[in-house]
Amino acid sequence: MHCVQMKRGMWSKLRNFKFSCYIIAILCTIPVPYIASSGITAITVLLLMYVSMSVSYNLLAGYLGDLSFGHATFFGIGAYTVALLTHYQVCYFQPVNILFGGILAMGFAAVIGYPFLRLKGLYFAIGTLGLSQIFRVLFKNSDFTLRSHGINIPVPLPYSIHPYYYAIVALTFGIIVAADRIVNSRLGLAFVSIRDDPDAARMVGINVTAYRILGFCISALGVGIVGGFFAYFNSYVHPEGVFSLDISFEMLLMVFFGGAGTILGPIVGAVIVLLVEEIGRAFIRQGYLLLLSLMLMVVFLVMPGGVVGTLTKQTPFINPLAQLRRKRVGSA
Amino acid sequence: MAWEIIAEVIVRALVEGAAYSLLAVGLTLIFGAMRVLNIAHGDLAVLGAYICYWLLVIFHIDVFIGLLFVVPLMFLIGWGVQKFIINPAVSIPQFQVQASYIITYGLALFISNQELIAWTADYRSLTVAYSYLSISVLGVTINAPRLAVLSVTVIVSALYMLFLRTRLGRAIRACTQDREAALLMGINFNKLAGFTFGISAATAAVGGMLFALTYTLYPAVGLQLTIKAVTVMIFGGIGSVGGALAAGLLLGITEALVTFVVGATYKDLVAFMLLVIILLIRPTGIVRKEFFLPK
Repeated sequence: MHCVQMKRGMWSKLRNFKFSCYIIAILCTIPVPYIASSGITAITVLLLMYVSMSVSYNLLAGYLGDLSFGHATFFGIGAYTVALLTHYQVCYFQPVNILFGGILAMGFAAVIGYPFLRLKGLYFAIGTLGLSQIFRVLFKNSDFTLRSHGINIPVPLPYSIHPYYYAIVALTFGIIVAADRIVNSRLGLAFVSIRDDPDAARMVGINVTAYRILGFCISALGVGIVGGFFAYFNSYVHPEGVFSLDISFEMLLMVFFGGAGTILGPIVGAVIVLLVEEIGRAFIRQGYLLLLSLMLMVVFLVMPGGVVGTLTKQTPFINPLAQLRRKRVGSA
Repeated sequence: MAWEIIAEVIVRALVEGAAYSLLAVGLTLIFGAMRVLNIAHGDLAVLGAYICYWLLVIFHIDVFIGLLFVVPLMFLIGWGVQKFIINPAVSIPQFQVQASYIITYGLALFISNQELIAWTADYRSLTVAYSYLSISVLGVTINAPRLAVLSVTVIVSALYMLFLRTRLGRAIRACTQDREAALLMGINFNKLAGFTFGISAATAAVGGMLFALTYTLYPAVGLQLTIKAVTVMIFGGIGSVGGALAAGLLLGITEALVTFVVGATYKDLVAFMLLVIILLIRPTGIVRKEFFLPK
């Protein structure tokens, strides 16, 4: 009884700690558009977008262990859903459109999930990459999506960045809290057990395929919603932009740079990557990613588990125990 | 008349496929022997092409003679990249493939941005003295550089096949089939990996040069080339050099026929549709033997 109470005490302390972290973060983000210039605010919006995208992507790549090179597909579906709904004058209410974009992305993930998640490892990654490229070419050549003109989304006047900023703040916190809840639930445990050993997971009664499809759908939902937001924020979508490989790879980079399989990892990764990108843009005009690439290689060589992963010793992908187990099974 | 047009289309297709083949061969060799997906492969190819471009523009050295200089140079670059960047990053077996994505994507960013600084984003092409020469055989007109591309590809592929029969080539094939058994047989894997990467970078440079001879060259094309090469690699069966050579030509022909019949807009679609369909129905590619089961 005593022990249980102590545990509960620790748990509530931890929850209080987390809760206070959220409160501090929200308090820190609220005054930004009033203090900083509009340029800095725009970069912050971009940053929060990348944070929420990589947190969603991390559920698939970090917790489920299925790396995808084509998550831009869902980003693009979200963005184009919003753009098309506005262009064809179906619905002008932003939150509904954004949510619909996310749900459509999730639905698409569910449809392709079964055939694609029969693939594993490199094959799955390359398959999703091919998918995003197919979408890019199709959207670029279809009359329904205005071909390569892209779609303009009218900006409500008078323009102010504040609504966009607060929308993305709310969205990011929503996604982070949701991801945290998922990771610390039965679902998250199932994901982790599938990542660490799919055969053992199947043995204890986890439906591996169903959970992988579910993880794929959840991460697609997050990325799709951010895509929908991006369409409004950018007020213009273009197939080359929203289905581009850069978006897919950027998510991968941020997740693994920060630490895959941790909640804090993708957040830190997104902040560092975007910050270095902007510093590079300020100092080197052409070839501004040079700085980022150098830092990426050096840091990754020093901390192969990502920044957060290595510092907190949470490196699920290079866990020596899992390695040992895999080796023993392999040699038998 | 129609026969000649079809023949010309196929010749062009073979030229395009030749560059894909050469790119994919290096990629498949690395993935086979080392379990490393080199995302910087296309960028290495573009780097080789740019060095050829410099030799041509500054020293007026013909591109094919320039290859004699570029190939050893790219071999050294590839060897160095493997030794100092890839090898330290992929030293953890469990994490090897994922680590290779990140470190080689970093490398790809580095190379393409360095190219942006050194050569700017302008479109360039390797224009040589015989660029506008053409040869007519049986009514089929072939551009001289295209003919050169085809012959170089044939020579390089033949050299490759011969190389795989040597002691070192056998070691690479052994690592492709079963790495642990190969290590037990006394193969020095680190030495082998450096050599494999060097050879792969060198062939990539040849492929990149051939690509630049018939198409335009700009720093951002590297990632596109990588994707084409990955497509060909999967099409041909991962780890199979012969499969990659055949698959490159097949992809080139399919693309050219679709361009001819439907139009150039859907050219890129073909490769990716093919990729997805092959992955879904036959992930081992066109080769008979399964080199890798999806892990």
